[in-house]
Amino acid sequence: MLQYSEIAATRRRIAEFQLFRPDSIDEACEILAEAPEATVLHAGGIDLVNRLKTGYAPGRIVALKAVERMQDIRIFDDRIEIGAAASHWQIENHAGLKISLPMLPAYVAGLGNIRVRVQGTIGGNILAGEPVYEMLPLLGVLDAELTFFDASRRSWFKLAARDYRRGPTAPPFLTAITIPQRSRSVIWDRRLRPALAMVLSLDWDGDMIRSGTAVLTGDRGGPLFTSLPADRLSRSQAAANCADIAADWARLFPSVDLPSGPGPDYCRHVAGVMLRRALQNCLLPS
Amino acid sequence: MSETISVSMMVNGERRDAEVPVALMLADFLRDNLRLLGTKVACDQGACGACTVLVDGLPTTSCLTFAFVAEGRDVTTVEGVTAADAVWDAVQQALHEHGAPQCGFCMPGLVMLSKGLSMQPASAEAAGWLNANICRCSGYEVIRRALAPWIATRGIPA
Repeated sequence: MLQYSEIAATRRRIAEFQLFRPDSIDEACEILAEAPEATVLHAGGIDLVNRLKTGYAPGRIVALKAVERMQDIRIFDDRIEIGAAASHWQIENHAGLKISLPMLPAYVAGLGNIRVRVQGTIGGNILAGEPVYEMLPLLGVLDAELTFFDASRRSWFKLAARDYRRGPTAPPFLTAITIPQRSRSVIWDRRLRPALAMVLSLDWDGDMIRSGTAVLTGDRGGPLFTSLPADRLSRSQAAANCADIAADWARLFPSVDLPSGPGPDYCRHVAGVMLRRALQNCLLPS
Repeated sequence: MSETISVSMMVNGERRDAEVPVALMLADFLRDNLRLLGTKVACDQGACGACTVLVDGLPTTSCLTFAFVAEGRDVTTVEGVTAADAVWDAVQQALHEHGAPQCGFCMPGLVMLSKGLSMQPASAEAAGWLNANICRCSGYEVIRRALAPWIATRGIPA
């Protein structure tokens, strides 16, 4: 058997670890609960392996590959449940999702590159806590709910996707993402990423906008959710006053900054332009 | 003493069994255990794509994939794309004819990335597929020209 000494000296070694390969969520929870501080989960592995190569040494790794339930995508009348270890590729190509929630596969198809989408998982994207990873803005406006197992307390809890922020310690065990089935218009503009990206969501009541949410994210931070005071604005009113409405809404945005940019005011202006375009697109007849 | 694990996978159509350290990367398993040196490791952080191999037909970053993850799966490296009676595969031939290889280091990964195109559904946009890999000689235009027919048909012969 070859040893690490035979691997190029320029490459970093990964510290030894104990590997666990459960085949059920319950078993994975038990393993985690035995030593929560020393155990980390492995699904796609993109971020984890890179962290391991830079010296992170958790001691115990739980590989979730054999937990089939965590890769399931299930569609119900009122909701969609996605296992946290479902890959982006799975989501992008899921026939049921293309019918029930086509915006999700379309959005996921624009993440990273094909290698990232084949290997990366929706749960890993969320838990990485990287603002440029882009899943939380969409899941937030879709009112998605995250199901977690807290290994330290041996308890389950749920959290709205828009409220999730990664803390300094290892995140709890995310097992599933639940998205309610509801009609809404969602549009995104990622042409300026990674500096700045936007997701706009409008909830409709017939031809009236019931409520709206805009999300800004970029490599300086985010996602930043802003509720938009639509208050039963009609489609025709919105279309006729699109520029003014977008300008009013853009004033509600929190301060954003672009790397090497001329400052938050300019960035707010850019975000306002993106919002106007997105609003115009949302108002186009479907 | 390193913890080890038994792995068994198909590599280029041949079953390979080995006892490996749990932390061994698939790229290292291919290169060091199997001596399949066509798979290159460049950035070692999943960014460049030089280490791309196919796992169950899909392009996979072998420098970020533990060997145990490929357990029971079908792995194809650049050594496995050429038919027994051919010198080169069609993608390699096209790249050669257009003079695409400069230093050549990115080529095995690029060939494997291109071979994975046949997994892309016909309805999906294919041109962005090749954006995943980096050529440090920046020979993108020639690569694009060489692979344009391949992209157009997703690698499926007309």
